[in-house]
Amino acid sequence: MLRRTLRPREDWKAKVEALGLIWHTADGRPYWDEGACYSFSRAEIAEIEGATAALYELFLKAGQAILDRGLLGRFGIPDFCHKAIRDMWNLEPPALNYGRFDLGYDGKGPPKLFEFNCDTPTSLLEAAVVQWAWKEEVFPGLDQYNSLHDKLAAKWKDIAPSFLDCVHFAHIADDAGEDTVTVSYMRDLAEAAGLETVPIVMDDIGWDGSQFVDLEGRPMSAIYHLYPWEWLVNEEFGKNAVATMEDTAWIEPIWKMMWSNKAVLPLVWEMFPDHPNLLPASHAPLAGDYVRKPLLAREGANVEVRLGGATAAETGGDYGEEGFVYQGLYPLPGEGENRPVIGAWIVDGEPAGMGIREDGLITGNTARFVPHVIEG
Amino acid sequence: MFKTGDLKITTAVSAVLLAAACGSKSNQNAGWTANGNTAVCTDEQGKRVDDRYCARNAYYPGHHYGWYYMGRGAFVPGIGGYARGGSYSAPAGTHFTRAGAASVSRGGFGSSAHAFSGRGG
Repeated sequence: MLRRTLRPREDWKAKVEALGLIWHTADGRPYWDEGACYSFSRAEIAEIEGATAALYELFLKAGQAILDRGLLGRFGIPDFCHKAIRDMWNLEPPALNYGRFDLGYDGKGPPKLFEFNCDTPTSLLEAAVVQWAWKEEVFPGLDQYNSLHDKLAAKWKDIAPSFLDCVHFAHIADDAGEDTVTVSYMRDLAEAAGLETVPIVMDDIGWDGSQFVDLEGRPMSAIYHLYPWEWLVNEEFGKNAVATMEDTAWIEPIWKMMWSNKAVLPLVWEMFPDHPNLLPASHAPLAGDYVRKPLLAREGANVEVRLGGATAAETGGDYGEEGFVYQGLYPLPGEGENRPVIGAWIVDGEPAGMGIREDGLITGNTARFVPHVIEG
Repeated sequence: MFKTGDLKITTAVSAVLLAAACGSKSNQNAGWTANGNTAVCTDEQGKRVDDRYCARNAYYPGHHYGWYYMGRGAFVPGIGGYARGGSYSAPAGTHFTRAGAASVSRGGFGSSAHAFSGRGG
């Protein structure tokens, strides 16, 4: 695993925009950063791929354990959601069942899990499309660990017969266009599978007293949402969503609340202590260096890194109300703002490629996406 | 692997957003917001109820119902939804139309995204 410094393509902005990546720059700095790339050996990729598959197996067992031991309350999940989570976990309604494991990896020891983003994983278009197109142009002779587009396309084909009507794609109308375009990419994948898709902004979703309807009054029987479950259930229509769970196919399903919650980290560590792909994790501060994370948080908000008993880095935010977990500190390779975190994708249990983001000690919303290649 | 033709919606939507970023923002709410000054009947918590509760001769002991006035572009909730962005007193000389029996309420999702700056995982 090597970091190579590169000269970006002259017209890189126009090239990534042509593929839909219009949020390539943030605060005047590139978010899509092709001024560098990571180069991996086949053996290193095999190690990441193996860890991804292994971690998924741990999460399957942890999901069952959460229900068997009645831990949903401990996860900060409201009582009125518990039955729906249990029912949907058992029913396994049609879904993509995709997600992104964030891993620490230095090419020396085994990859270590930071967290599993499986409810609203982003950096999808960057990983599936933009970095592949970059590789094809800049390093056509090299390979890349990337089957994300094909695996998602296949999964949409697999579940398409479950939907008799159109599928609605719900998201917020964000200023950067990241959510809107990422959801548009999902619509492309779904339409390729023969589905009719209808986009809708979250605020536009209507409730007619018995079901959700779109702006034209059409019932919403299948809803892909790039909007986290912990927000959905806590908003005004949340109880309606839970009450009509069996008549609405939510992609992803509500049981993802168990896996995307960081309280799952101490549980998997307790169930599989010293697993090579896990870091120690607890609900109480750990001895030694650790990272404190809110149970529910996004984009690295409200995270604290403790080194030698002192705060080495901390991010602000509005999370933490539900409590925190403490995870052993993994020393990220690299230095300064160039510390990589591997985003290892999985689609329905199958490892599907990766995307790398670089940042400082905490990978937050200033992280940059850096492409990768496989050499040798 | 993807082909350019696989990205029809992705490229079309991103092109529109890029173009829109240069000009004014599009009105995401078109179609369900009030297209003129609108009044809805609400209870003491601001929840919309049927217009009959606000009738001139209506009297419901222990309850306070009143007209809630909203300007053009405001979100009109259905029965049971909360009215926001307006006022309990109508500006003098302004005409308000009753919203009528809207059966669909909207705006029950999305508030967290407005409260938090980011969402991505």
